[in-house]
Amino acid sequence: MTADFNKTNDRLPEPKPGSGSSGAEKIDPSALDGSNYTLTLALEALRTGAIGRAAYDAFIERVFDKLADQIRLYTGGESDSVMNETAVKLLGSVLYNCDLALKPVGVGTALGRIMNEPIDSIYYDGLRINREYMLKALAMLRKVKRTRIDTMCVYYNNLLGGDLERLIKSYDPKFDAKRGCAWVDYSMPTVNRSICGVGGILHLLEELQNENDFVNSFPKAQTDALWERCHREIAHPAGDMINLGELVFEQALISLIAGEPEPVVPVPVTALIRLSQRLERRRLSGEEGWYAALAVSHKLNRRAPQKYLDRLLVRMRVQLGVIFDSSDALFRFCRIYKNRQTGLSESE
Amino acid sequence: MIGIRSGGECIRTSAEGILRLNNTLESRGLALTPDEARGLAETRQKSLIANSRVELGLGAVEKLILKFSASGYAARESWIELLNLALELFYFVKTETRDGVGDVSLIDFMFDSLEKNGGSPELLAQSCERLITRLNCGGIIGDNIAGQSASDDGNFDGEDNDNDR
Repeated sequence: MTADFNKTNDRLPEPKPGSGSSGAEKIDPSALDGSNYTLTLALEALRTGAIGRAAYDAFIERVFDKLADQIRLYTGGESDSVMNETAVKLLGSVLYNCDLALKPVGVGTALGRIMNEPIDSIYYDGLRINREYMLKALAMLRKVKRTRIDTMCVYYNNLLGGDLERLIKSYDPKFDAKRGCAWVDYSMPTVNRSICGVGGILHLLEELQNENDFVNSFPKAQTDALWERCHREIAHPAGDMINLGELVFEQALISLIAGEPEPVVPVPVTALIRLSQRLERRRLSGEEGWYAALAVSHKLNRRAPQKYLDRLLVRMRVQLGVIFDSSDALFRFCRIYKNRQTGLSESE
Repeated sequence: MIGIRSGGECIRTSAEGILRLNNTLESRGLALTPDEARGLAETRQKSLIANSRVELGLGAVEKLILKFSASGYAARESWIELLNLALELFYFVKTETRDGVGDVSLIDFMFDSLEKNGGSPELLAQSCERLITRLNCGGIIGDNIAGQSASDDGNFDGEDNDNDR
């Protein structure tokens, strides 16, 4: 059996470079895999000569001894063998909890711990941290639900309505700490439809809170008007590509580029007409559109953390290259359609 | 990224562990030679792989060998063949029942089945098949193994089916 843990979007704290046990200074922290920290640290230490082969093998033996203990605990002492996938799950859980204990300390200290301490000691430290994170996740979930966006978006409502709570409450930090969930149907900029471990849960909750805060910073009348304008996409059962925060961000940004003194959602039709007339006089290239967006985006930074806004801006970069190409593209992007009989309308 | 020791090393370690059981097996006239121990270790390794299982250490092998050595039907001539079959059946049942039965319960069941069916390996295999069916249909391991033939009606609670009379 080989346990191959895929790189995940797990967002645990980055390890700090440090001094400590001899040889640890040879280890390059950037070579360590955050989603598989303990093992990559040991491997990197072996590769750089910080530890010898015998020490590495002894460490691996200790890991497997711990796995054997976990198998016995998991089966209640009834069985000495388990299915492959169960063994992978249990081993992943052991290593995940060890990662939690080791990542906050320096590389040297971490290496010293894995070489000199029993795995149990590191594992139970990590399990304690894991449980603290779970309590934090429950508190964050309560806040996210309290500040939830009032919307008809099915995927957002399902996520906050029960899916997330079920996930958190069914999370097993002891035997399945690295559990992955690949059913996050609500589209989110940095959550690629799946989360892994308590770090992934915390990251998802943080992103949801940022999104809630950002969207709710606009008057409810404005966001209701925006949902109404985009209702066909938001309420559609197949509309799982819509992210509410992104939608609000796009509209707010375009309203600023169109010359509105403050960000407004949805983009007023008059502002769009004004912008399209400017574009007819002179088109904006993708690069120019990007710089126009950068120039005005600072007006949004009171509403959400800058990192969150930066991520949304980067995701919008490709679209900025297209929407300023013609007024038709601009109107369609803002969900304003040209009706031949009546002129512009918000529905096709 | 992290691999269990190479197959050869696992087999060697397991064979050494099996040979240590000779302390008990010798008194029963069933001591194993190093080649036989290695053969059993290889059978165990193949069964684990075939049944997608992981077992660290000697695990159930030790319990199974010691238990079966107490059988009245454990003769020196057929001892290795019996053990190989028992090992294969053991891991097969464990996987087919999705770990629905504990190691000790299963070993006891197999031992009782062997004893009550005259030491017949074929009937032992059939009993294990029936056990799998029973457990997968929500039954319990029980003691419903005595005298069951290939034509039994598969009652799970050991009661006779009156319609068959």
